[in-house]
Formats: sequence, structure tokens, C-alpha cells
Amino acid sequence: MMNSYRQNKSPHRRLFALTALVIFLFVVDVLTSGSVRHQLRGGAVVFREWSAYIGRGISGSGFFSTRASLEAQNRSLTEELAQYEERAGAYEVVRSENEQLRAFVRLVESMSRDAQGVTAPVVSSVRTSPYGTFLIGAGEAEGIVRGSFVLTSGGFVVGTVTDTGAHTAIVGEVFAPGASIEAIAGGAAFSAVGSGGGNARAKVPRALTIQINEPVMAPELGQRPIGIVGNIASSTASASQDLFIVLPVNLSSLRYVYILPVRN
Amino acid sequence: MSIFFPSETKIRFAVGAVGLLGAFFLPWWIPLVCMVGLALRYPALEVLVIGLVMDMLWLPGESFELPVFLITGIALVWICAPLRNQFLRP
Repeated sequence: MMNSYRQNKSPHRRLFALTALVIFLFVVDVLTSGSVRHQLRGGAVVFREWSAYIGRGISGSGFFSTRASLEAQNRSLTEELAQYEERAGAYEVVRSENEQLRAFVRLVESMSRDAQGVTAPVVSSVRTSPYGTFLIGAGEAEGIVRGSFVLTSGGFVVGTVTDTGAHTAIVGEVFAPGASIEAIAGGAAFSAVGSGGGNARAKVPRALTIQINEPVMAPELGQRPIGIVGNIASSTASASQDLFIVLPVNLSSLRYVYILPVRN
Repeated sequence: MSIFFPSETKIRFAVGAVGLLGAFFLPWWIPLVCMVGLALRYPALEVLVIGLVMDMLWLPGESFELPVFLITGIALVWICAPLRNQFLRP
């Protein structure tokens, strides 16, 4: 039997029409300052919340547990114990969330009164975007504007807000692949080139003495720290040394970020 | 048609769905692999949709940037068409 797709007499016409349509949609989106993409990102946030809820329900039901492990569990655990474990698990989740939010409270307290920002949840994985961006669940309605700095609970700048929707915003990572930023470490200024995932590298003269774990600041981000020196590679045959700059937190594990208004 | 030997339409639908959902949740290379796979085997219009969704979701948006996935999708769909016609037509 022939495939229904092959029975079409004019697949090129259909293909041409859809190509024109997607280009048209993209152009409309650009001309209307992202009206289409903001709707899509809002949908993505809702979609992610639903999928997380369903995922928790499925994993909680033990549907994907193996039969052997379920049998072992049935033999060894009483219903009461399971109940306590569930409560303990729920407590751990709340405790870790609370710890992260407490860290943000300390960060907010350490800042001046006119530099108060917004804590926002990270709603996408940093690995999903090919452009070194991630999505947060707060937008214009929460007072977030383009150019706002995005900080971790430790005060490191991970990126800046590059686009805002009503309740979502896109954050461009400081160390996005190929992105370049002027940085200072050990009193020396240099240009660091991002390689994604909170990592960057830079070339500095070998005469400079820079220590591992030394903080790296960015003048264009208000002299805030953007990472630490993770490793230094130097060779006697070369006049320069390679600095490997890392963010001291794992970007993928970030659940909340602190958004500092751009006026500061 | 058993579940072990699904029809081409089912495979196409499954790969398209993985590519589209992958644009939201999975590492970026998974939608790309789905786009290439679909474009090589079928005159798949969904390749363009996946490319558009990827760019709309993840382009930084602060200045004009090339929509790499959309361009890749268009290139794949049109470049692979003669190849498909040559080698996969019964």
C-alpha cells in the first residue's frame, strides 16, 4: 500500500505554502516585538507546570518501579512506614526549597534598600536552549525589564534579561556559547569567551599571577562577580596562559534566581 | 500492523512529537536529530514547525539574531526533497 504522503500530487506546493507561512509568522513576530513568541513561552510555562505535576503523580504512584522492587517493598515496608517516608520526602523537598529561598533573603538583606529585586523560578532547563538562554517564570507584570541582572543566591550574575513577556522572561547567560564579556581577576582585565553551562575561558599574559578560586568580576555588570577561576593552564613555551572560569553553582540545578532591576 | 512493526505514519508522528516536545523540555540536539531524521525520510512539514518553535522559544530577542533552527529546517526540507524523490520513491 502506498503511503498517504506519497499519494499527494503536489507536495512541493504544500511545502512551499508552509515555508512561506513559517517565515511570515517569524517576520510578524519580529515586527510586533515578539507577540507570538510571548504567547508560546507562556504556554511553555503552563505546559511545564502540568508535566511536572503529572510526572510527580506518576513517580509517586510507583508505576515505573520494577515488579521485583515493588514486591520487595511490599514485603519490607508497612503502610505506616511508607506514610512516614512520604512525609519525610515531602519535608525534604520543602526544606531544600526553603533553604534556597532563605539564601535569597540573605542576598536581598545584603543589598541596599533601592536595589531590591524579584525572586523568580527558573522554568526551563539550561540544556534545552541552543542559544545559551533560559526561561524564568516572572515578567513585565512583576516589574522585570530588559537588561535586568539575574543573580544566584550567592550573588553571582548568571545572565541578563533579554526579552520579557507578561509573566515570563528570557535570560541570556553571561557565559552563553560564543558570548564575550570584559572581566577582571587579580587586578588584570581581559576578555572572557563563554562556552555554555556556566563556563568560560580567557587568555591572559603569563606574567600575571592569578590564583585558582579567585573571583572574576565584570565591570559592565556593576563590578559584580560572574564566576571564579576554576583552572589555569600555562606553558613555558607560551607567552599567555589560559584561564578557565566557572560559575560556582551548577546552572542546571538552579531553581530560583534573583532579578535585580536595571536602574541599579 | 503490530506494535513491533509500526507503520511509517506512526513513526513519523512519534518522531515529530518527540521533536516538538523536545523543543520545550529536552536538550536542543534532540529536536535537531528529529528534524534531520524526518527530513531525510519524509516530506515532513513538521520540520519547519519544530524549527520555528525552537527559535521562538529560545532566541534571546534583545537584537535581531539569525533564527538558526528555522533556517536549518527550511534548508533540510528543501535540500532533502530531491534526495527523497531519487532514492525513496517506490
